[in-house]
Amino acid sequence: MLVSQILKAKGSQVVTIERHRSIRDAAELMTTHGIGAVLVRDAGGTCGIVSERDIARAVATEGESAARAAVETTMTTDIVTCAPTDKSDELMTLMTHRRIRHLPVMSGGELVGMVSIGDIVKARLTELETDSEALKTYIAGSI
Amino acid sequence: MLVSQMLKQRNTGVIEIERGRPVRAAARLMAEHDIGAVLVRAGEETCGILSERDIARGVSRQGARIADVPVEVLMTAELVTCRPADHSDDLMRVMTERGIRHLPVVAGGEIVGMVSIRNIVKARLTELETDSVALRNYIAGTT
Repeated sequence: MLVSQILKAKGSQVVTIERHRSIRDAAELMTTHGIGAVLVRDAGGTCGIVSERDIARAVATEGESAARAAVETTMTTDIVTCAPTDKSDELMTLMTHRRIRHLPVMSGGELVGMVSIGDIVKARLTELETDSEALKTYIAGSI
Repeated sequence: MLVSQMLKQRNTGVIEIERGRPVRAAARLMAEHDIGAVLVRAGEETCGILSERDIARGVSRQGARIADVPVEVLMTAELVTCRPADHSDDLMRVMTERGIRHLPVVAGGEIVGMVSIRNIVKARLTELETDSVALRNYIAGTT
């Protein structure tokens, strides 16, 4: 399945947060939107990504002060992205090799969505169901 | 791919933490073992599971204090498990429907491993590679 098809199903909304806001604010955004990562932005545009993993790591290293710290202290600045024309199989490879669960989708220099490992697994399920339906139709047609 | 094969591919074992220990200790265990969830034990019994998501939700609701609260406050007590004979496609369905990323593997009444959404994606990649090699051999053999 193509990234563009996944985005059609889930929408192109990307949740972002200012780099000086707190880790707790980022966690609240994740809870509200039911997501596992938010993009971090500053005046220049997107400058990082912060995930549930980053928050858990901040709690591990900082303890009590983690929630008040700014998201920029725990965010990942090396952002790996994908394109709408990429296939979900390629994203699986990318996520496995880079050990990440979220990929912002870029098209013509613009941010057009976010794809998570959960979306990829869901896409694979849809493919399995479509294959199974096609097979059933084929078998029904041949008797 | 079967869960038993996935465990053979990469079995990190089951990482556990005692009930009563602080969330920060669980977060450290996750960082140390590079995993996204730990099982919570009360004596000999497993009484729950704590994930990075639970920690992020905790930070969202209670802020800084969560580093020192006991793990059982944030854990999920209801365990969704799988068996070694289950197929990865079925696990995809369970994870998607329940919105979870980790399934403890139960065999003979014991927890023998843990399967994460990442293991499932990796299993799918292995399947794709195997299919591709089989196809190439088939084509090479027929020419």
